[in-house]
Amino acid sequence: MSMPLLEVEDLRVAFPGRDGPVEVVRGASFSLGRERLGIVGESGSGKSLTGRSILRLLRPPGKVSVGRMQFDGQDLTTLSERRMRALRGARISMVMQDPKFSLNPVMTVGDQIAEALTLHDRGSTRRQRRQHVIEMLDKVRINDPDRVAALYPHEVSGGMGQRVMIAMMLIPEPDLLIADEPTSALDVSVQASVMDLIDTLIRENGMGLILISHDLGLVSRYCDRILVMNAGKVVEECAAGALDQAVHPYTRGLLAAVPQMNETRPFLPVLDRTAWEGT
Amino acid sequence: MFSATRDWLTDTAPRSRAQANLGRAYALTGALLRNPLAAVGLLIVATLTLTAIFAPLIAPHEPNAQDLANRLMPPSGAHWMGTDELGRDIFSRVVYGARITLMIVVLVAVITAPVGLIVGAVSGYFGGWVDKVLMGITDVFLSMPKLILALAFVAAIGPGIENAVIAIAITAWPPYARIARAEVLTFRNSEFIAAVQLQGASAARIVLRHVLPLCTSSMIIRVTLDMAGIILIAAGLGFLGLGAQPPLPEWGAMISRGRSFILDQWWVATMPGFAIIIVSLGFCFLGDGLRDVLDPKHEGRS
Repeated sequence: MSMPLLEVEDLRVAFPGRDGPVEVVRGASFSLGRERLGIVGESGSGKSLTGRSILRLLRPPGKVSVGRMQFDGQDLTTLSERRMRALRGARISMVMQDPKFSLNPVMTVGDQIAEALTLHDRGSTRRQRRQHVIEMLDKVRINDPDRVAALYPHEVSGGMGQRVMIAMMLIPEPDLLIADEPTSALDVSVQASVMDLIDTLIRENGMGLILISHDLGLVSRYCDRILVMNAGKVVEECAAGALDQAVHPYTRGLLAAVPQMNETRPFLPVLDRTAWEGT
Repeated sequence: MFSATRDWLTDTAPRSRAQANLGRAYALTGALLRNPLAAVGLLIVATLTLTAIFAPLIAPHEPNAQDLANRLMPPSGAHWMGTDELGRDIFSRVVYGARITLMIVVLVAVITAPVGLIVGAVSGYFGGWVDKVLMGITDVFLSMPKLILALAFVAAIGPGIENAVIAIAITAWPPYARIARAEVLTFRNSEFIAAVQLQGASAARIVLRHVLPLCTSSMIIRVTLDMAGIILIAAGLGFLGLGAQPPLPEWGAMISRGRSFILDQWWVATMPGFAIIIVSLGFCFLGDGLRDVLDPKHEGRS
């Protein structure tokens, strides 16, 4: 791994609480090359917030403070909002969780995909953009892209919606894709095909991927490296293949809680938080 | 042949997008016309529009042609609504007045709706002090009665029909800003706005391309409902001599002239009054009907 694509050091996210600010992400650090990084952790462990803070798209009143955050040599913390906008979408983009809520209900699918092109590639003509959109829809394996481009989001299924979302986020050919639980809103049979699709496109374009998920199996299958987050901290970092040799008690607890095929245990173990929190 | 068209329109499995859209329009029109008041409203507004367009063909006389020998004649076969103090045919004047009324209504709508939309959308989208400042200004305008404020503006910039339009527009936008802001607040934190943000769209682009289109349907309904009020204010200004100036056949101004003869020659003031009432009612009915038809929350309920 030569120069890392993204470096994050001591990322902290805080929200104001009744008794002063509450830290939700508490000093996460990691770096990433053109590889596939998985971030796992339970709900509320700060995975999604980490993803959003990289793009500096945290809604107020959330506050981000970070020791160092560099993307491809650029310091993300000091970049002006205008430069940041040029980066969003074009260099870093993000696939969101539920296509039902992340697509604008009153714009056709094709127009929404073309939006990123209009924003970042001003030279292209309408016709070129349309051509590009159709190609992209074809690439995310949508049949009859001509027809689908003219549909509104409520007219497409969940799996199709997520493919559209992927097309929308990949069309400007970013260097880094953040996928925030891209398959949680989809049913199991569609999940695999959507993940395979993301995987293929990432490999083809040689991009970096941050896959945020709570599904250990999914992450170990589609990523090279895994970060385990708990209560806002990175508690373990390991290669995807070496997940079963993880040492941190939280990771061990998570692994133990995954049901096995041919299960023999009468109960699935519950996380025993006393092992690492000291509470 | 009609039944074939009808079947094509009501086909539950349309074969093309155009057919689906036309079918939807057909269903909406049907729903609108099933509501008797809305049908009446639509009829009145359609009549008003047609009258305004074809005024020269409909009016039997020139609206400003004076005939002093026949002044203050009661309604008769020759003059359906009688004549006024200068012997002008009131019916012709009412017909030409439709043009002025329609023009005022359309101009005010064209000016206020976009202004209100943009102020409201910007205010709702950015929040914070932008919201406070813009809504503060809106509140200042809202806190004064519309007619009084319009009167003050016309008095300041001088009487005349264009100034009346400007004055009404200045007083009419705040409710739209309020509605637009409320709409925007409901979806400004939604995921699809976040999605365009992370595509790198600028705030202006998000407001114009992604936020405004979502507010338009409630705006259309509100504007239609407000048209009655606009007509009344325009007539009120005309009545007070601050709107359209003589000899323009504006309904409010006509009532004002007829006021002097109201006991002996009642028709001079009454005929344009009827026109105002009917047209205002028409817009109210139409707006109510549109709200019932266009609001998806009411769909399926009768």
